Amino acid sequence: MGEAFDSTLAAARTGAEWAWADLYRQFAPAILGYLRAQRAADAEDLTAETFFQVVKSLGQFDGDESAFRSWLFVIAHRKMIDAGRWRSRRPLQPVEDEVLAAYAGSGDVEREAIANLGVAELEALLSKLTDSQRDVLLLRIVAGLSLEETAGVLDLRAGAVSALQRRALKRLEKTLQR
Amino acid sequence: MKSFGSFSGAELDGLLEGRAPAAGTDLEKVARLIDRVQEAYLTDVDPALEATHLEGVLKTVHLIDKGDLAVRPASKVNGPGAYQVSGLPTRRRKLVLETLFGSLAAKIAAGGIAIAMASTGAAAATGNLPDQMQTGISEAVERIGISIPAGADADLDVEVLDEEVDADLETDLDVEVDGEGEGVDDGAEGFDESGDDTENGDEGHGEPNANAAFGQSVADDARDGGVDGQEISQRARQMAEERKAAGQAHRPDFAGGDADGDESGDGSEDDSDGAEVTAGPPEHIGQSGHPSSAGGRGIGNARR
Repeated sequence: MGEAFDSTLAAARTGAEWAWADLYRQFAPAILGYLRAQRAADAEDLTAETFFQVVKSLGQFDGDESAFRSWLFVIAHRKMIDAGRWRSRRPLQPVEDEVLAAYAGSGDVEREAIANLGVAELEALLSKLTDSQRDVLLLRIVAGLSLEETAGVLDLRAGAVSALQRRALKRLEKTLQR
Repeated sequence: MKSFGSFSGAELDGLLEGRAPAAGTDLEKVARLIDRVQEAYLTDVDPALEATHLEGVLKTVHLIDKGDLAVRPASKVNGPGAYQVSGLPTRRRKLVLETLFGSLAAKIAAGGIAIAMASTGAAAATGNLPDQMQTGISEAVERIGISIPAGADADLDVEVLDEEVDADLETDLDVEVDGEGEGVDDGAEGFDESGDDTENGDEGHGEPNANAAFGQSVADDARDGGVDGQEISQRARQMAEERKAAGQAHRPDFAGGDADGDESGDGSEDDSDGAEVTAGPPEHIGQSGHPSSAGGRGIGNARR
C-alpha cells in the first residue's frame, strides 16, 4: 500500500468501511494463500477469523505496514495452529516421486516443467518438508515476510529461521534433482 | 556448477526475496519452484468469498462501534512480535490459582508450626525437648526456613523467627484464596502474641501431669479445628508461671494423642498439625517429613 497505508489504517480505526475493504483486499490474498499452501482445510474461514480478530484488536496495534503484515500473519498462523493443523489439513493428493522426477529435467524443458507444476504436485513437494521448514518457507515466499519478521511470527530466533530455510531449500532442490 | 551447500545465507535470502540466482547454479530450479508457488497461491480472492468476508468484517466493525462487542486487547505489537491472546486461558488461570494456593497452604503449614512452637516454644528453640522430638521439629521447620537446633544449645531469637513466618503469612493473606486466609489470620495473630511470651516462658517444663493435660487440651482443640494460638500461649504462660512458683523444671512428657494426620490436604485451618506435635508420641515425631506440602500439613503430618 505504501504511503496510503497510514491514512488507510487511520480511517479503519474510525470504522470507515472503505478502509477495511482496502485492507482486506491488500492482505487477504496472502493470508488465504498461506493457509491454502499449508493445506488448512478451512483456509477461507480462518482468513475471515483473522480479519475479525484484527478488527477487534486494531486499537492496540501500533506500527507501520510491515508491522501490520507481520501481525496479520501472527494471528493467521496462530489460528491455524489452534484449529489443529493436523486435524484440519486437507488430504494430500498422492503424487508419486516418479512424477516429480519427471520435472527434474534440465534447461528449458526443466524450466517449463516446473512452471507447469500443478497444485497437487506443489503440495507433494511441500509435504517433503517438515512443518517448521514449511512454515518458514511459506511465510517467506507467500506471506512475503523478511527473515526477522518470520522469526517473530514463529517465535524463533533469526538464526533458527535461517537454518530452517536453508534446509527447506536444500530439501526441495534435492527432490527436484531426482 | 555451484552446489547448493556453497550458497550463503544472504544468497538464499535473496532468492526468497525474489532476487534471481546466477544462471547455471543449483538454485535456478529452486528459484523456479518459488516462482511457481507464489503464482499458485498468491491469487486474488474469489469475489463471492471477498463479499462474504467483507460483510462479516464490517458487521464486526459496527458491533464494536456500537459497543455491542467487547474489544479484546492484543499484545503490544510493534513489528513482529509475540501474539498473545488477552487474558489467561482457563488452564493457565487454574495453574496460577493452584500455585498461589499451594504457596499459601505452605505458609499456613508454617503457621501450624508456629502455633506448635507457641506451646513447645522456647523448649524447641533452645533444644530442650526430648532428642527425638527436638530433631523432628528441627528438621521439619528447617524446610520452611526456620532454623532451630537439633541438639541442645542455641541462642535463638524465637521472636524473630516468628515474625519472619508471620510476615510471609501476612503477605500471602493479601491474596486471599477462597477466604482460607481467615484461619491463618487468627493463627498468626495468636502466634504474634505468644511469640512475645515464649521468650519468657519455659514452655514445656513443669509437672508431667500438667504437661500431659496441656498437650491433650491442645490436641483436643486441634481435632475440632479450634486451636487458638492466643489461648495456647496464655495457657502456656500460665503453666510457666505455675512452674516458676513451684520452682521445678521437668522435661515435657506428652501423652499420646491422635497421631492420625489430616491427609485431606486442606491446610487452611488445620492447626491440628501443630497440635499433634505436642500430643503425639515421640516415635512419630522422629519421622520428619515435609511440613510445607501443599496439603497444609504441619509437623504432625510431615512425619507421614
